[in-house]
Amino acid sequence: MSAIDVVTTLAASRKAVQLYPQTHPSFIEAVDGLIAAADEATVSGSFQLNIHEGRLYQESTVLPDDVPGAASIAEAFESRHIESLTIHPGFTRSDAIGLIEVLSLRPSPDMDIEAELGSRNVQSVTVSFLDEEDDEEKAERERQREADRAMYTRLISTLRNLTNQLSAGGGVDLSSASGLVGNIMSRFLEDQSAVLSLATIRGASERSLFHSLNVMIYTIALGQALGIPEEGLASLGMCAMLHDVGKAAFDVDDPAQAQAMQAMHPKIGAEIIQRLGHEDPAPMLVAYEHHMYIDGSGYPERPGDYIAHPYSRMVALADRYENLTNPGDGESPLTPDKAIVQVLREAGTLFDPFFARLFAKALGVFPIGCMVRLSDQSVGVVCGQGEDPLAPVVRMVYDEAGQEFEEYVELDLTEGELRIVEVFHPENLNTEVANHL
Amino acid sequence: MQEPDTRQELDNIVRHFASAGKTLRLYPANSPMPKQAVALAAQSLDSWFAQFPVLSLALVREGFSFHGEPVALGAVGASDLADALKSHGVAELAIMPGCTGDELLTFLNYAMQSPEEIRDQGGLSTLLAANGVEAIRVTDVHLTVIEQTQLAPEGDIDEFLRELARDPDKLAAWLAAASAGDPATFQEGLAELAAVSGPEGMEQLLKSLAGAFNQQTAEGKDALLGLAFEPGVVRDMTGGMFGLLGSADIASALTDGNLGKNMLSLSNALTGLPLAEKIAEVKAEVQAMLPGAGHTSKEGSFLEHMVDVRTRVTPEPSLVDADQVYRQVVAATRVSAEDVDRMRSAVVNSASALNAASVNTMLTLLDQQRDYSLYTASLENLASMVPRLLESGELGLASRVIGELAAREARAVQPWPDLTQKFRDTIALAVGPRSMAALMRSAVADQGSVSIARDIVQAAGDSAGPALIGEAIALKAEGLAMAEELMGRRVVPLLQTAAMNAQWFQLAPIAERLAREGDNRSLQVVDHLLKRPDEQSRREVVTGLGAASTPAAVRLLSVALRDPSAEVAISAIRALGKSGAAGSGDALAHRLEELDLDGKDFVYARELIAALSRCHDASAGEALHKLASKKALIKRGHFEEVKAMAEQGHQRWQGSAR
Repeated sequence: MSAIDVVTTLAASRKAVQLYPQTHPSFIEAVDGLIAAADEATVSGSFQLNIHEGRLYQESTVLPDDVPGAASIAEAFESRHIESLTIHPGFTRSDAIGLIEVLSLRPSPDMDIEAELGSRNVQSVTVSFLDEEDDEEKAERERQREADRAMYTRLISTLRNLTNQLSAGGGVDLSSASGLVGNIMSRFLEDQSAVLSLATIRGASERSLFHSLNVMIYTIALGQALGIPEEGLASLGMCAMLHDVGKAAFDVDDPAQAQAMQAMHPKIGAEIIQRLGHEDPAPMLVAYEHHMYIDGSGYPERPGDYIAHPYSRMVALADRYENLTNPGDGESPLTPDKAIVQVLREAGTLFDPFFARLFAKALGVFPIGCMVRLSDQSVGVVCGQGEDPLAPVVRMVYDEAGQEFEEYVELDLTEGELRIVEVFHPENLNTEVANHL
Repeated sequence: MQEPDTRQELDNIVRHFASAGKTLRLYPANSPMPKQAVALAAQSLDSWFAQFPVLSLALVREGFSFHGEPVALGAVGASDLADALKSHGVAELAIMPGCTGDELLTFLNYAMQSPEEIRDQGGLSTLLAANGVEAIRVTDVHLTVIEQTQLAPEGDIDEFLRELARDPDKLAAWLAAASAGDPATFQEGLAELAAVSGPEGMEQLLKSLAGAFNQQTAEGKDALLGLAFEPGVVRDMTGGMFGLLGSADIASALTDGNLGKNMLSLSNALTGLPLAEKIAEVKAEVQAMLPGAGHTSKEGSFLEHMVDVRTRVTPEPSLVDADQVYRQVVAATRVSAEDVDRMRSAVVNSASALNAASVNTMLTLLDQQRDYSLYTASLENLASMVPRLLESGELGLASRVIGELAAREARAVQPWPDLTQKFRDTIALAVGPRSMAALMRSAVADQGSVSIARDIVQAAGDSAGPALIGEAIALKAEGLAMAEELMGRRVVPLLQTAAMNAQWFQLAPIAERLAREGDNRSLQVVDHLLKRPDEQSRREVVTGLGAASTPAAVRLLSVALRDPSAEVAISAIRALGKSGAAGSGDALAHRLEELDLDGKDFVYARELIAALSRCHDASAGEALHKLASKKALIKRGHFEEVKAMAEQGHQRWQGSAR
C-alpha cells in the first residue's frame, strides 16, 4: 500500500537525518526509499496524507496504528499543525531531502512550514494546516485587552494628576475623572470579567492610586449585582475612586504623617471634596464614612445611632477586600478566595451583612485573579465565573508539567473532570496574575 | 582501469606531493629543502596537464585514489599526507593547470598544520582562497564519509553509530545537532544508539552520554531531559547517565534550563526525572542554587511544597471538598431576588438619607473648622445643597439647612471680621432664584409642605418674591394660588410687575387674578395686556377675564367685544355669555345694537344670540325679544335666519330665567 510505504519511508528518513550525515549510505538509502514510495504513490496523480484526531488517513482509508513510523509522523504533523501533506508527481531527491529536513526541525509556534519548504526549493510538496483559533478573534481579544489596559492607565494618570493637584492645594476639575469612570463603567456593563481582571493590576509604586481604582472596580461590581441603575453606578464609581482622596494631603514618607493619615484621611478627604464643590454629595460622604463600621468601630468618631450611607458601606467592603488581597508594605496578602471568606466573617460586625453576601456573590467563591492549581497539576488564573460557583472559568497558564501555555486556553471547570486543589499566591511563581489575564 | 603510464604518472605526482609534505614537517617552509621538493612536485604536474584538464584525487581510507582506484599505495608519506588532509575535512583534492610552486607550497604548508589551528582560521578551503591559491581546490568531508563507507564492508554501517556511542566528543557534537531538531526524531536517534550499542556497549554509551551531556548548552540539556519523563529507552539511558553525573551537574542542568524557569516545572523535573536515589541530593543542590538563579525564598518553599504534592500517593481532594468553607460561601451568596430588589430600592431611594447624612456631616465638618477659607467653603457647600434639596422635594431638610446657617450667623463667635456678611451672602445663595423656583414646584406638588414652604419663604424675605412669582406664573393657576398661599397679598404687586413680561400662554390666570383684584393698577395692567399686538395674548386675557366674573372684568370684556380680531371678539362674547357678572347682558345687548347682524356682521350674530340666551340679565331677554320681534320692509341677507335664532334664544333665555 503506497500510503504505508510513504509513511514508513518518511519516518525512516526522519530518523536517518538525525543519525547520519546526508552522505551516509543509511541516509541515502532512506531517501531512496522515500522517493520510490512517493513515485509509486503519485503514479496516477498527487498523493495526499491527512491527519484527523491523531490518525493518519489516505483518502478515506485509515492507516493501521502498527504501521512503523505512523505514530511518529502523526505526531510530527500535529506538532506542526499540519492537516494534510500532498506529494505531487515529480518528487525529486531535493524535494525529499527538503521535506525530511523541515519535518526534522524543532516545532515552534513561529515556524512557517511553507517558507521552510520554499527556502529548500521543495517543489512537489504542499501542506495545509489545521484551523487554529481565528486570527481575527485573537487579534480582537488582544486589541480589547490593550484598550482595557490603556483605559486603566489613563485613569491612573488622571488620578495621579488629581492627587498631585490636591497635594499642591489647588482646585481640580473632576470632569475628566468622571468621564473615565463612565468609560470603565460602560465597559463593565459590556464585559464584567474584563474589568474585574483589570483590578488584578498592581503598581510597583503608587499603591494608593491602584488601590483607589481597584476599589472602584470592586464597588461597581457590587453596585451592578445590586442592580443600581447606570447613573447611580457612575456616582458610586466616583465615590469609590475618591474615597481615599484625603490621603493626598499627607506626606507618606514622613512616618508621623503617615500614622496620622490613617485616622485623619476620611475627614480630610470629605473636606477636600467639599472644597471642590462637587454637586453630588455622595463622594464627600463616602470619603468621610468609608472607615465607619456597622458595630460603631472605625473612624471618625460619631454618635451611636449614626448610620453610614449605603454607598459608604459598599465602598468599605471593596476597600477591605482590596486591602486584604493587596496589603502593601510587605504584608502577606490573602488570596482572593480567602479574602472573600474573611469579608464574610466580618459581615455583621464590621460590614453590612447583606452587602457582604452580595459582594461575595458578585466576585464569586473563586474571584477573578485567583491563581489555581488543578487536579492534574496544571495551573491557571480564574478569569470568569462558571455556572457552578465552585467551578469557575480558568485561563490556563502552566500545563501539568509546569510549562507555560503558548496559546490561549480557557477552561470551564464546570465541564470535565478537573477540579481546583489549591489556590496560591502568584508570588510563589514569582509572577503577576495581571500578566496572565 | 587506468593506463599503466597514467598510473605511474599519478604515483609519481603523489610521491612528490608526499615528499614535499614530509619535508615541510621537518623544515621551515621558507628553507631550501621544502622549496626544492615542492618545485619537483610542481614539475611533475606539467606532463599530467599536457594530457588532462584537471587532476582530481579523492581521499580514502588507504590514502589517495583516482577514479576509485588507489594511487601510490605504500609510497612513503602518502598515507600521512592523506591523513593530514582528511584531518582537515578534505574529501577531494582538485588541481588545475597553472598550479605554481608557491601555490603548492602554501597548500602543503597549511595541510601540515594542526586541524584545530586551520579550523580556527576558517578551514583549509578558506585559507587557500584567502592566500590566492586558485589552482588547488578542496571539497568537504561528507564525500569522504561516503567513500569510506562505500568501501566499508556491510557491518560497518552500525560501526558509525558505535563509534558515536564510544566517543564523548563525537556524541556531544551529535547531541548538539540532534537536540536542536525535532524531539521525536531525537528520541528515535537516541534509541537507535542504545540499540546499536547493545547491553555490552551500554555502559560505554552512558559514560559517553554523561560526558557529552555536560558539554551541551542549556537548550541541549533541556532537550534530552525533556525526553526522559516518559518511560522508555531514553528515560532508562538518562537514568543511567544521572548515575554517572554529580548531583551539582544535574541540579545545574535543571535550574539553568527551561525546567528551572518556575517551581512547577522544576518540581516536575525533580519528581519526574529518573533521579532515583539522587533525588534528595539534587533537590538540596537545586535549593542552594535557586537564589543565585534569581528565585525568591517563597519560590523555594513552593518548590518543596510542589515536590511534596507531586510525590503523594493518594490523589489530592478538590479544594471545595477539603475545606467546607467554600460551600459555606456559596450558601452565603444565595440572596433572594426579593431581598436584592428591596435593598436596591433602599439604596436608589436613599437620596433623603444621603442628603440628611450629608447635611449632618457637613455641619460637623463646618463646626470643626478653624480655618477661614475651609469654613467659608463649607458654608457655601451647605448653601449650595439647599436648591438641590428643594428640587428633590426635601423641604424639611432645606429648611433645616437654612435654619442652621441662620443660627450659626446669630451665634458666630469666630474672630473673622467679614463672617457676618459671608453668612448673609451664603443664605442669599441658599434662597436664590433656583431655590425659590424649586420651592414653588415642590409646594405645588406636595400641598402638605405648604407650612414648611411658607417658613422658607419667610426666611428668604422679600428677595424671594420675583423668583417665586416667576415660577408661579409658569405653573399657571395652581402656581398663582400657591404663591398667594405662601406670600399672601404680596403676590398682587409682584404679579402686576411680572405680568408685563409674561408669555401669552401664561396670561389667562394673571388676567383673572388681577381682574378679581379689581384695583386700578391691576385693571390698568390687564387693559395693557388687552392691547398687546398679538391676537393670542388678547384671547388669553379675554379667557382670564371671563373666568374672573367681576364687573371690572365685564367692563374690560366690553372693550374686547370690539377687538379687530374676530376670534378675540368672539372669545369676549362667549366669556360674557358665561360670565354671569352683572352688566354682561347689557354689554352684549349693546353690542347687538351696533352690528349689521343680517349683513356683514352675521358671523357675530350667532355668537351674540347664543351668549345672550345664557345670560341671566333682564337686558339679555329684552334684547333677544326685540330682535325676534323685529320686522323689516324689505327682507334681505340673513334676516329670517337671525330672527329665527333670536326667537329660539329668547325661548332658551326664558326657560333658564324660570
